[in-house]
Amino acid sequence: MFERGIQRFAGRVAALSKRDLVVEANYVEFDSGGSVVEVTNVRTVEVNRAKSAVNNEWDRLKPL
Amino acid sequence: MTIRVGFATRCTAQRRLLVTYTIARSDNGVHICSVETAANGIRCQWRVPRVGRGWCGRRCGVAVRGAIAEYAEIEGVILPFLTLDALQIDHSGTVLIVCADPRMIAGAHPPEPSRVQQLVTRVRNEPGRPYGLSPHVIAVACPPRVLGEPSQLRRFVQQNAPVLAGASRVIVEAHNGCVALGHFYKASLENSRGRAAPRPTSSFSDICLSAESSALPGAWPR
Repeated sequence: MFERGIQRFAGRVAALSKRDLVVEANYVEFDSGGSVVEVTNVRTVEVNRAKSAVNNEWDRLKPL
Repeated sequence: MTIRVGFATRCTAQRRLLVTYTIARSDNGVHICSVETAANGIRCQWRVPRVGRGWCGRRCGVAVRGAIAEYAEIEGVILPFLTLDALQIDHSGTVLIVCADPRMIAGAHPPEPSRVQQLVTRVRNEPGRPYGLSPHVIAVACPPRVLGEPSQLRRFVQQNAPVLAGASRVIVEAHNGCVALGHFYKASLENSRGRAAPRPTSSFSDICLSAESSALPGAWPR
């Protein structure tokens, strides 16, 4: 539902802004102490005015 | 109730800053706030489910154009790097939608930057983008829950339209250990389990599950 929501959200915001848009959805894992252990890119949605492209890969990101 | 907004930009004129506030309390004691500024007739706002609402007015020197806040202090809690742009075009083009969980906003260890601070630093230093401009931060109770439910999504977009209209990039973050997220997935898990197989009636586990499920929604103000 979150992933579908991101898609819908990207569509709505793109319609609002009338420009190219990138929506990045991440999942942050905290340890018991509250430090960031890992950040996972759940989904990245790119909305171009000409065409739409969706990256469904679960990419691993390094914590900043 | 005190809401103080610290502006990074130099004060250029004495104008009245109106702040509407909304405070809700979540399960883990986080104060979630909705702040609305009105400067020169242009407003931007954050909204979350509310339990109280009021007006607080104070004299504040505000540079109307490019008024970027360094922090907002709500009931003694400093929320760093919130961008209270008077004009929507002045934010960096990046909008962060994060959970109001303290690990996201404030961080667990004071020496370590919180996740929001990490993201703000990343956005401010991103190559190819205007250097030093802050993202606009929207903190809500569980972004996956808000964006995953069509009715809440519609309301969220409407309420944050002035900010979202200027966005070219949006970063949404969920995290582990979120009570709202746990409730959200527990409900969908329960639904899918109910569809998959007939459930025995009145078993102990069902009673426990239904008791927990019915207790959770009340904890999150709508």
